[in-house]
Amino acid sequence: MSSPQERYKRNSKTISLEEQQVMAGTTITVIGCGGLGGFIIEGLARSGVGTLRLVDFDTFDVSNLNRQLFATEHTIGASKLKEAVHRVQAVNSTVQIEAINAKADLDNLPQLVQGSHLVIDAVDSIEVKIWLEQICNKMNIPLIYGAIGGKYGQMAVSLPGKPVVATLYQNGQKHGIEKELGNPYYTPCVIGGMMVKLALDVLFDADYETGGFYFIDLDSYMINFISTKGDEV
Amino acid sequence: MLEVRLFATFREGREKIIMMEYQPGMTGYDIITPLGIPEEEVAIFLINGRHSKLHAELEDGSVLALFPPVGGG
Repeated sequence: MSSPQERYKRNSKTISLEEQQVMAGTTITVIGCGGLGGFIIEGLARSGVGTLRLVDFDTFDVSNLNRQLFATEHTIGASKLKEAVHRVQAVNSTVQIEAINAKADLDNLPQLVQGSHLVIDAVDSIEVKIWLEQICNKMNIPLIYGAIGGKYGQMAVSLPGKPVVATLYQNGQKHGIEKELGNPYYTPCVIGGMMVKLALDVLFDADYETGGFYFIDLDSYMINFISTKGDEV
Repeated sequence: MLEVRLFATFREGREKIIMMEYQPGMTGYDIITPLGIPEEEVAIFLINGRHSKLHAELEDGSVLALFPPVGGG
């Protein structure tokens, strides 16, 4: 096994040794091991997060092959959770893994996120996204929110006392534009990668925006931070 | 004048930024109706960067932003 210095050598000019040590002592929970989740889990494992708690209940089907990183022709029908665990073990065996086969809901979310330093939303249900923010805010755990649809994505840091997700679905929508547009490869890949960066920025107490959300338009290669300050949720 | 900024799929078949004549008493409904955007498709409505309801009354010179829901994972 290689030393941490060798393994993370190509991180060293963007992630300091101290930050690398912070990461090694951190538990991050990722809810959802599909489109966004696949790229996020891969990124956190390669970056050197100490413990990854992974949550999913679903299995891969053929329509996942276009974009979900752990979906291959050999894993159709297999558990997304198990394939995520195999991938993390193959990429970085120093990462501790806690695998939980569960469908997140309002009842089990407190248990699922308990003890995490940071939680990442990679679920495909607006209802669960809103619950996840409620629970994380209540339990004082920072949340990285993300959502994708077609060529568009959005992400945000949700902190206790500064809810964001609840403001993004004002008309009680159950689904977003993804229901009609689906998701091509590049959308979860780009937004998932950016969510890894945002998660590390929160862990390292680096610069990032709060009080709004990042809107990513891949059709026109544009990233905007949209402030929603002054919200009364 | 009002500046209406459209995002994501709201731009399909429309301009990204639309200038509209201000009339006293206008609300968000007077913006989405002529644009052919159904209320149920609006997830985020911002007036000058503040989260707002469609029935909120607008002021001359406001910048409005409209987003559809994005919910996939």
